[in-house]
Amino acid sequence: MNLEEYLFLLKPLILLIFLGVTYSLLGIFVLLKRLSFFSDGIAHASVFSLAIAYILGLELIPLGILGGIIFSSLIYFLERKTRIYSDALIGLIFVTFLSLGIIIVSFKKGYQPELLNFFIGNILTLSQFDFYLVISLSSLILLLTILFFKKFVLIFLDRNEAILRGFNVNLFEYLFYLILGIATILGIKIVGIVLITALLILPPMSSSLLSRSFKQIVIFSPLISIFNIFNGFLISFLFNFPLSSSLVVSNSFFFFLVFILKLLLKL
Amino acid sequence: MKAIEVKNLNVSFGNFKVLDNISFDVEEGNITAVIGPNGSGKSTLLKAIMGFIPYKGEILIYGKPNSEQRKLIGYVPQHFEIEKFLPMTVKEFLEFNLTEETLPKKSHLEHHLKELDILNYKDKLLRELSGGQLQRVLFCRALINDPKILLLDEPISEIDIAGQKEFYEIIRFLNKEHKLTILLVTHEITIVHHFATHVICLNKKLVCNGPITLLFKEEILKELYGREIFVYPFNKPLEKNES
Repeated sequence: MNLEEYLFLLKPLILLIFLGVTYSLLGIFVLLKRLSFFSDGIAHASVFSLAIAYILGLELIPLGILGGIIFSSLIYFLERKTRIYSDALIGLIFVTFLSLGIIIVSFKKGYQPELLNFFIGNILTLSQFDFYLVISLSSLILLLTILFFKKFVLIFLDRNEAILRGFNVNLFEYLFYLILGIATILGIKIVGIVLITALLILPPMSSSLLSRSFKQIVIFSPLISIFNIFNGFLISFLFNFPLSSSLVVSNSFFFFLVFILKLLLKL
Repeated sequence: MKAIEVKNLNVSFGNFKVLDNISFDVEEGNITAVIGPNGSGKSTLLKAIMGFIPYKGEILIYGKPNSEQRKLIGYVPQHFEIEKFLPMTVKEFLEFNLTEETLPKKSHLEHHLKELDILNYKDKLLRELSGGQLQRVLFCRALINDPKILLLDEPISEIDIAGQKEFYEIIRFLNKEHKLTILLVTHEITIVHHFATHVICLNKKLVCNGPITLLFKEEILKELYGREIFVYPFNKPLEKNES
């Protein structure tokens, strides 16, 4: 086996580690504020902006990010201006822009294999530009998450208490929506629209089973994410399975394994 | 000195008026019970004082607009939902509530835990606490940022009778030792007169405002609840029964 042949896998691996650590920390807040449908909705709605980029021959991720910013803002705005539940609003944005995206792609004649790449990801579509863009943006998001970590925890634990403590709650909530919207798009080329939420929620879910304090969940979550990225890569490589599905299955198996072991050992 | 001044307060949700031209003062050091039937606007009043909801009128905390003085308020909510998945210890929960200004007072945390008798629970997970224990933790949270006013929204609704007695002892203790002005929304009018000094009766409009002895005036309670209510043992129906 010539290892040099597989050097092309190194970039997606590095990129996934960056994304995985970022997602695993954001995921704690996603679970805390019950936002898993939010990231799922943003990912699916982004088909609209990805389709425009695809039809016009533009870079997918920048336009996808623009879509992520617009959809996050739209959900945030609608949540405050209507009395409709958040998940219904997300559902509205989700189906509307997904449908519009599919209609836009249908303007292009013939079979469109890129459509499948949108949904389940394909590391081979990752360009040099994508690599640097995703690395730099995920680093920025990671930095912001760490910087405002305590504020996000307090706001998502008890919004009213955060107001009393003098925090600009609306600003930080909006900032988190934007961060999450952008972060969701960053992994789309590798993991795909359908499975992206799994990387956000599964590591903190497994971590919560193993932790006896919040400090532990914050430490374990990125470690579990990195472990399952290596594991997913290995499964994908050894059995020639799609990478995105291998990553998700690895995370899911890890969760169930910990869950069953906890049950058996009565921990 | 006036701790809270509420002037011509009006709160509406759409076309529905919840509070109608309410004005009252709360003097520093008082324990004031806010009573009234369901939907009378008691919790809304607290939310307006803390600036959580939009309103018309003026609310002053120690002479300044409430938006500038929120940090002087400690709040114990009626219901606190803990995310079951979240493994957060009592100590972590309380430390997250320390702001940059109060972080140097981190050492006070242990003191508050001790005086509220929850030092032993500091490493316990929030989700493992009983209703009464969680209540004490929420009291501790309200105290760690050194408030001058404590607002309590039906704080005993989720604790048992034994816990309720302890709760009233804590209220007295905080009022006496921490010199806290306390505003307490409650349905427990038969108990509250034992420890509150003042009462505000609310039914969208202000029905009464004054010393706690107002609770014993049948006509006030009748106006407030729309039917005959009595407060043990100062009630006429009971006297009739006894005779």
